[in-house]
Amino acid sequence: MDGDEFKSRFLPFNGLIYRISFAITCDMQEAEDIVQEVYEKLWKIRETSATVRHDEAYIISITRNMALDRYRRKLNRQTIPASSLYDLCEEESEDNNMEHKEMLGNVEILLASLPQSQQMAMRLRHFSDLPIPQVAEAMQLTQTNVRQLLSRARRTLKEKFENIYAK
Amino acid sequence: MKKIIFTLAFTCAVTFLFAQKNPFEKFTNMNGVTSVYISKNMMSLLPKESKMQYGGVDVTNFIDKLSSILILTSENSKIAQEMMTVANSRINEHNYELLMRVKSDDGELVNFFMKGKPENIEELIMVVDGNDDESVIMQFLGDFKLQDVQQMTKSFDKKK
Amino acid sequence: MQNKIEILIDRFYKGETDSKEEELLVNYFTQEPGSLQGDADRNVIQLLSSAKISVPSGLESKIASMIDRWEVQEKKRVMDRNRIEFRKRIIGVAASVLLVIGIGFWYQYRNVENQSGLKETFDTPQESQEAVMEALQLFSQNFSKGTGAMEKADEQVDKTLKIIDQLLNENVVNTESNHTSQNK
Repeated sequence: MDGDEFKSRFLPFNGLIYRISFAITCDMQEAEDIVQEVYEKLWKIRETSATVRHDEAYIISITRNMALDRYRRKLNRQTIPASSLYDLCEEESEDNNMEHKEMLGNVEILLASLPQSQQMAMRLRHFSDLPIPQVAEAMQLTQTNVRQLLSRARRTLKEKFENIYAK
Repeated sequence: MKKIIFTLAFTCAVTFLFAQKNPFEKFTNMNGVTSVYISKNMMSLLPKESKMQYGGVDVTNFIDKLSSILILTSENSKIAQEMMTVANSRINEHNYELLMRVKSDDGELVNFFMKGKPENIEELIMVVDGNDDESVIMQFLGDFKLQDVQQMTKSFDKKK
Repeated sequence: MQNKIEILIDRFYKGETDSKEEELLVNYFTQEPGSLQGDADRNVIQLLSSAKISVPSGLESKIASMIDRWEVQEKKRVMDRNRIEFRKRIIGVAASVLLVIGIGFWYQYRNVENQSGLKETFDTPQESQEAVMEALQLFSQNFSKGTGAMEKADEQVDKTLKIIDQLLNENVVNTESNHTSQNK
C-alpha cells in the first residue's frame, strides 16, 4: 500500500481518533500525540494486517489501547484494571485554550460528581460527539449499557439543576 | 567482510611467494655464463615418439614430473666461484640434503643435493665445481621420487 | 410541535436520542426563551451540546505530511538496503574471483616458486629437446659415476671376501692333510 492509498483509507479517521483520545486523556496535546502514534502503528502494519473488515472498530480499538497506554505511562502506574479506565481525567486537564476550558470546566464540575462509567460515557457522547455505537465500541460495552449510563447521567444532571433553581 | 580479509591475506601470501626470486636468475643474463632454461610448457611440447631417435632412451616419465630445468655453465673462474657461493648459501639456507659426492681424478668435484624427502623431491641440484675448468649448476624443479631419478640415469646407462 | 419536543426530551433522558435529535432540541431551546419544560432541561441540554470539542484544524494536514514523510523515508531505506545488498553481492563475487585466482596461482606455482624472472631459452620444442637430452645425459653420467663408484666398492668388498674365504679354506685343507698325514 503506498502513501496515497493509505491516506485515502485511513486519514478520514483522524478526527475520530483525536476525539476518543481526548475523551480518555482530557488533554489536547496528548490527544494529538496519540493520533500520530496511531497512524504510525497503522503505517507500520499496513502490509501485514489483513484487510480489516471494519476499519472503524479496529481503529477505535487501537486508539483506546494506545490512549490507555499513554496515560498509564504518564501516571507511572504499572497496571490499571479495566474499570479504572473511568478513573482517568480525575486530574484537571491542562488545556491551553481558556474558552474551551471554561466550557468544559462547567460541565466537568457537573460530571465530576457522577460515577466514573457515566462520566466516560458522557464525555465520549458529548465532548467527543461520538454516536452511541462508537461510544459502545470505545468502552467495550453494549449499546444498551451505554444508553443506560447516559440516561442515568442526564437525569442526575437534571436533578442537580433543579436543586439549584429550587434554592 | 571476513571473506575480503581472507582473500586479501591469501593474495598477499601468494605475492610473497612470488617475491622469492630464483637466486640464480642474475646469472642467466651475465656475460661468461651460458644459461639454459626450459619450462614445463616447453617440456610438455616435446614430441614423445621422437625421443626414441635419441638412442632409445625413454625418459618421458621423468620429464613429465619436472616443472623446469635450469642449467648454468661458466668457464670464468670468478663467476664460477660466485655461482658456487650462491648455490651453497641456498643449499644451507633451506636445508638441502646431500645426496651424493663424487670426486674424479682430474680434481672435478660433483655434488648432488636434493630438497625434500626421497619420496617427495621438490628440487634436485647438481653442482659441478671444476676449479679452473668448466663449472656447472643444473637445477631440476618438480615433484618426483628418487626412484624416478635412478630409473632415468639407468636408461642413459643402457644406451652405453 | 410541543408533543414532538416532549417526546424527544423523554427519549433524551432515556439515552436514546442521536445527535440530530439533540440538535433539534438545542434549536428549540435557543429559539423559545421560556419553555414549558422549565429551565433544568434547557440547561442540561444546552450545556452538554456546547461541550463539543473541536478537532484542531491543522491536524489532518499535519498527519498527511507526516505520512508523506514516512513514505519517502521508507523508500529511501529500501533503496539503501538494495544498494547495500548489491554492493555486498559484488564484493562477494570479487572476493570469490580473487580467491579462485589466488588458488590458481598457488596451484600453479606450488613447486616452482622461482619462476618469476626466468626466460625460456629456446623457441621451439625441437631445440629444447636436444638440450634436455644433453642435460639429462650429463646428469646421468655424473650420477652414474657416483653410483658406479659405489658398485665398484661393492665389488671390491665382494672380491676381498672371496679371497679371504679361499685362504681360510686352504688353511683348513692343509691342516686336515697334516692331520691325516700325521695320523698315518
